[in-house]
Amino acid sequence: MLSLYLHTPFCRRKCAYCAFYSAPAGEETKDRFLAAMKKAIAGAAEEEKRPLSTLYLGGGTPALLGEERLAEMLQAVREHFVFEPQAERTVELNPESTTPALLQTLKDCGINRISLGVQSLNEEELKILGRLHDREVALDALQMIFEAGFTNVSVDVMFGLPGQTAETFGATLDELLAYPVTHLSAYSLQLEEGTPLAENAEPMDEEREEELWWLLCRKAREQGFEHYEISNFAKPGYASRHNTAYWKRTDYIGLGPAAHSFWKGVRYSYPEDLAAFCEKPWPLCTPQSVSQREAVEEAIMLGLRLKEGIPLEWMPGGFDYTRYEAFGRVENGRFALNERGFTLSNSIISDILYRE
Amino acid sequence: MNQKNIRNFSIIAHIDHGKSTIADRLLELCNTVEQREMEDQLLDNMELERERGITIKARAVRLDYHAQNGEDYEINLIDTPGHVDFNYEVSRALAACEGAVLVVDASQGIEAQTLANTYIALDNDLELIPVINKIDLPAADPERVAHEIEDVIGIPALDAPKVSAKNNINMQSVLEAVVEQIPAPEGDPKAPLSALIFDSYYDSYKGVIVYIRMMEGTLKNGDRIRMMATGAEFDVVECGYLRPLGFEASGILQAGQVGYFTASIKSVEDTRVGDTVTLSSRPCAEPLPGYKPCTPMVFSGIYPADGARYDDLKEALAKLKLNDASFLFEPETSVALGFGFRCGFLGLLHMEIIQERIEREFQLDIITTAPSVSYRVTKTDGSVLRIDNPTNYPDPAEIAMTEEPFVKADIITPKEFVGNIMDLCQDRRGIYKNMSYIDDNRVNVHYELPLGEIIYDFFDTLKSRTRGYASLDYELADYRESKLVKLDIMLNGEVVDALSFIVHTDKAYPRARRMAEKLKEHIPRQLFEIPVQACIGGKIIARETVKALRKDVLAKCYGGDITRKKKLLEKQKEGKKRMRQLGSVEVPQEAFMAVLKLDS
Repeated sequence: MLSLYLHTPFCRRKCAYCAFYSAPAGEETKDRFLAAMKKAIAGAAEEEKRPLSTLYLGGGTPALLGEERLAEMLQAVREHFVFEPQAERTVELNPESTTPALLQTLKDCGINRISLGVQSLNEEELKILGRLHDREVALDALQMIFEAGFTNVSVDVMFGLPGQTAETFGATLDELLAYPVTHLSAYSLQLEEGTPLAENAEPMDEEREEELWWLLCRKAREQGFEHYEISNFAKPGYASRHNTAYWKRTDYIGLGPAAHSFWKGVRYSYPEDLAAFCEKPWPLCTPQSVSQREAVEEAIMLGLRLKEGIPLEWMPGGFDYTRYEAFGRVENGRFALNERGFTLSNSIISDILYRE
Repeated sequence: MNQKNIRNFSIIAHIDHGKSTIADRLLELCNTVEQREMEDQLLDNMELERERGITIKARAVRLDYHAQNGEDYEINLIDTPGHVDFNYEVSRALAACEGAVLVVDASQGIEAQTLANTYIALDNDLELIPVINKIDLPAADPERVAHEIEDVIGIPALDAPKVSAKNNINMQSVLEAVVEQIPAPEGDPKAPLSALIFDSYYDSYKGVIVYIRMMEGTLKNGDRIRMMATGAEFDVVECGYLRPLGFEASGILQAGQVGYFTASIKSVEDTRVGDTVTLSSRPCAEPLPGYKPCTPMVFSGIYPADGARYDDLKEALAKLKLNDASFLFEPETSVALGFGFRCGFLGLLHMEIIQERIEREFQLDIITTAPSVSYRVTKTDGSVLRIDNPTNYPDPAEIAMTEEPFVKADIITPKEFVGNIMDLCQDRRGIYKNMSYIDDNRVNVHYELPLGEIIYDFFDTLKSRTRGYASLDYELADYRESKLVKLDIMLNGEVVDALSFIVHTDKAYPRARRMAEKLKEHIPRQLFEIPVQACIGGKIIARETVKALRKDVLAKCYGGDITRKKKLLEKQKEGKKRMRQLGSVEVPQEAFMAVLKLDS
């Protein structure tokens, strides 16, 4: 199994909570980026002949490249790589840059899944996050996506936002899930050092955030979603295969500044530097081999994010699952966290790995 | 050097009255140290001493002085600590001298340790030379202080040298007074050797370096010597004088002199401070009086944070013990903390210093249990136990009587703070004795206090309630009957032996509550709820709960970047190393330390 991730590091403006690598860019820069990306795609394809199971265009804001460049980029992928039948091909969109024309272009290029960054449908919350859209723009975008004929649609929401309540979060969820979305990603707000939001906001207290968590789990369940990963819910058959590659440690090649790869047992990452990427788009940068011990820790850490959990034989010696009865279960020779355990996964994982 | 031209003296003073600065100036006057090598507080050569601005260990140094009478003198200066915890060090230093310079701050006047040290000096029949320091301070009143010394101590002081060590004013008069007023040592260089060990120092190349005061006879390189208390014998490798920046080998030391020797001594057990050194071939008849054995007053357990470093800790303690006769330790075990040591200290400052030295000089992380005094427990069968570790406290049903140590405390303070001090002492179960005026403004308040109430934070509280003006000195008085109980702490239903302590019944409840609160503050939320309970004999008297963690998850894993997750995991792994696993509860080392400071 092979996944390909293409990272577009452009944003019109940085959101108040965002610590990822992105920057505004002019036309010329975008051209240079596209040229480099095409070289990277060609370079990767030289050394990797397996068909792609998944493709994911993320950012940043891929739509900022414009329809033509996006089409060209996707064309390059199709030229150099073979897709598996039914391969999952996702583009990440923001509501304000979603247009019928863009959607048509994506569809024509073979994109079959859209991930829309809604985050919230509450005006106050959107303002605090520094998003460029308001609730109407978000709902319009969602409408357009379905009208364009996409049937596999994911929406992102955030919880733990300053001022957010069970009421506002519940309303966002209700309204979004009234659409035929097939996938829901729900991230709790992390106040990242150096972001404007971290300077102005206090983290929500654990009890309140926990209340939102259970609200999320309940509403998703009621709408027929499966909680297949800590932050991700899907209608049956619609779990994101691309993201699952990350948790299951199958091979993925990430191209673009700041993109990460895990390829043939080695981790790579491009520096957060557009110029450096344009200069030398291939091969992958800063290889870091993964030791046997690290591999085990990674497998446990990532595998326990999934509802299906991990085989018991991966667990360290002396693992006593009765200690974690409140947080998970053992079934068919696998240990998996439940929704209670998901919320405490950091502590549980380090407890499993490092408890004396 | 002719014996009549030798002078051996100490400088004694209350803390901060300028003793170490005076020592620096005297060293300069005698050109003992080149100007370029001169550092402030040269005798305080332990890093910790300079940082804290205090002298912990006594140091000795030889000065060569050309006096105004035209003669050359060998002057041995032995520096002493000024803090109440270190009175024992002072008495060791003074036993090696014929005289002492008593430094009094011209603006502060007599303080508690001025008196305490004076009494030790008088006990040793030393000639006292008062010196009034810091005369250049705006608040200085040397005349008043001179009268105070005459009135309170009863020695002539109107002609005392009035100096400023900081600004080098009139410093020569101190050396002149030393030469003129302090008697030369006595002792016959031809008599059988007897030398008093007053300090020692471990050097990794030379072995133990022994500081001695020659009382009788002569010591030479190659001599076979015997330690009279232990009977151990050694061959002297090197002997000589103590210089500020090292040792000056002379090959010979004679009666009256102060110096050092090395003899390839490896074992801590063989050199005992206070012991008498004599010649194996021609021993002296009687050992020197030595010292009153020092009595540690405060006890606590010291454990390696990492159990695997037990042997390193043991070695560290042994080395510290070599240089610090007042520090005692023996192995003990704790269910909670594993293998460690029960240690005896002179006081709380002494304890803090030992802890800091273990961590700094030996790079060891340690966990210290709550300090305790030594209690006396009479059981119903008539046997009497000394209890300095709460773990050994007998079942209350077997106890007929409990006693705790009391001290006599002198607190010198400006009179406007007397009310505050009385409140504090009352609160600490003190018994008021009386009060005497030192001058119009300052009084000496005498209290009897349970030592157990002083060892926590009495000194800090005293300072804060008197804006830093009050000074304290105390000495052990006696044991008195007292209603004591053992307080246990349970985490998640299990008693943590390392957190138990003995406390007066009246103080048990507030102490228990504070302890539970402090632990709650310092134990991080974990996967499970943790009840923190304080109990006496199984009866719970205070309870707090460390609530279970509710949410601890790193949601986003953008574009397959798992480095942040790995970093977080690494951080948690490091965090776990600083935790002690007690049953199912993880307790950070800080929690053990924090409960030592219950009032802050």
